[in-house]
Amino acid sequence: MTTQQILLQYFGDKSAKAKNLAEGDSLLERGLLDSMAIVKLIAFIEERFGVVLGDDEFDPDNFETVDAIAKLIEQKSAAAS
Amino acid sequence: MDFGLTAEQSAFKKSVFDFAKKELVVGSSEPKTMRERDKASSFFREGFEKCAAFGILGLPVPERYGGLERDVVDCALAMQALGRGCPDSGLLFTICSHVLTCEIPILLFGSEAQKQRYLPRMVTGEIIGCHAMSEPEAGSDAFSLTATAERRGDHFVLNGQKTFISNAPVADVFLVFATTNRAKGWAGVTGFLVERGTKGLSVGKPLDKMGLKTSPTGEVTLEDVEVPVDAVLGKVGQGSAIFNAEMEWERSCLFAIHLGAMERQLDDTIRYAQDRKQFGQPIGGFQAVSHKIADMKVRIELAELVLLKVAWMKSRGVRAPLESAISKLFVSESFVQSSLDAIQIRGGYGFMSEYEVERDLRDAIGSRIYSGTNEIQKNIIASLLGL
Ligand SMILES: Cc1cc2nc3c(=O)[nH]c(=O)nc-3n(C[C@H](O)[C@H](O)[C@H](O)COP(=O)(O)OP(=O)(O)OC[C@H]3O[C@@H](n4cnc5c(N)ncnc54)[C@H](O)[C@@H]3O)c2cc1C
Repeated sequence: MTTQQILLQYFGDKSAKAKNLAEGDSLLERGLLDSMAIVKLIAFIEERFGVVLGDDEFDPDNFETVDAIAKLIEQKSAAAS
Repeated sequence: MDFGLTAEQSAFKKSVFDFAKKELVVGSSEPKTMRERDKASSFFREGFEKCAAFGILGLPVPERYGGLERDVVDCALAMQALGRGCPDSGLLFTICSHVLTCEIPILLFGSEAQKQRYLPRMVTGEIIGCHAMSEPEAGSDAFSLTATAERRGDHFVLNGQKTFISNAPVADVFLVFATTNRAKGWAGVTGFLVERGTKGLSVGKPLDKMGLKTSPTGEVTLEDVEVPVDAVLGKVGQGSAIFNAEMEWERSCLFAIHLGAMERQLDDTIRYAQDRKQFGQPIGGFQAVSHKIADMKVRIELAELVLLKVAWMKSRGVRAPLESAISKLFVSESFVQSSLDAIQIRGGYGFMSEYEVERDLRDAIGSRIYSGTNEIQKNIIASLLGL
């Protein structure tokens, strides 16, 4: 599974609002990322992908879309390896 | 796994405790005693300055800005030692607000210029910081705040009302949270560093409180406050990140002062139960009394474990949202219950202000409310458990 697919599945499991979610859709506009949901998402990302996100990476731009999150994860994984 | 402190950590903790006992109990100018300061709701500025001179205000700050550059564990240990040695929980609360809710955000998110501008003077106590998030209509739902920040050319214009802001009456630098785009909810929340004296920023008179009376609290009003673009802390929209990061620090280090206060309570209560005699014997010999003391000890032990676990995780760069919520919840509930037990064990003497036991209870109640109420901590815990 690609990073995007894993994330789409994550959102799909969490909420019915994620039906037909596409990689480029705004997560905020779809109501999928409130302030608590992002804390949970970060915990999921750190555990699932084995990356540690710095405080300053917790930035709305990095969490705009599934594509943006995937890019962040891939950058972190590449930097770690 | 190792639950012990290093020799260096133990020595550091002891030096902070000795300093607090010697320097932070009685002041040299009126109101001198803790009881008098509490009655007069008077900020112990002399104590604040002594803490600055000792290095407390710069505990987590890198040496290049004048700080001691200690990790989170050392900061928590220092706060615990202060709580045990110093009865002025209001002073310690003010220090924690200054360090944890203003210095730490600047340290974690500030530009080099912002760090240079504020940190050295915050470390020496020349300027005092505060953190203005809560509003009359946005408390637990902090990110629903309505204070606005409108970009106009090379500056932002801030408008709004903040309430319950610790240190506001004495603060020189205000970390103000406002939204640059309400439609974005939490993602529009942005932090700004605003200095006292900026046109349009005003602070109301200190609010009268139930406890922590020596920590000044106030309202902040922003009326067309113009700040340059470089007053933004971090990036536009990063306010929630700043808030979440600093909350984890606060939920470990701030609550360490309460852990220390519980240790002080236990020491005093054991002594009292050994000295006070009724029915021809020390009351500590009655199981109803000794079991309360045993419960106090159990709470301290568990509170210390959970609190230092959060500090340890953070010192290793691990995020601790679940653990810090558990710690905040447990330490504050323990502090309230142990304060009640300390009063009950002293009977009528516990209820009288003169004996300075009831003040801890008044101070403790607030700990269930600030840094996110305990109901919100349970929501966070449940939510992180997938509920
Ligand atoms: C001593 C002290 C110092 C403070 N210092 C600062 C400071 O420096 N800066 C700052 O910005 N703020 C500060 N605060 C404000 C503090 O953060 C808020 O009081 C707190 O977040 C709660 O908000 P509120 O008072 O508006 O209560 P509300 O949010 O109105 O809550 C009222 C009650 O409803 C409950 N409740 C609300 N929502 C939920 C929910 N979803 N689920 C379950 N229960 C819920 C709460 O737990 C509480 O019991 C301070 C408060 C105190 C007491």
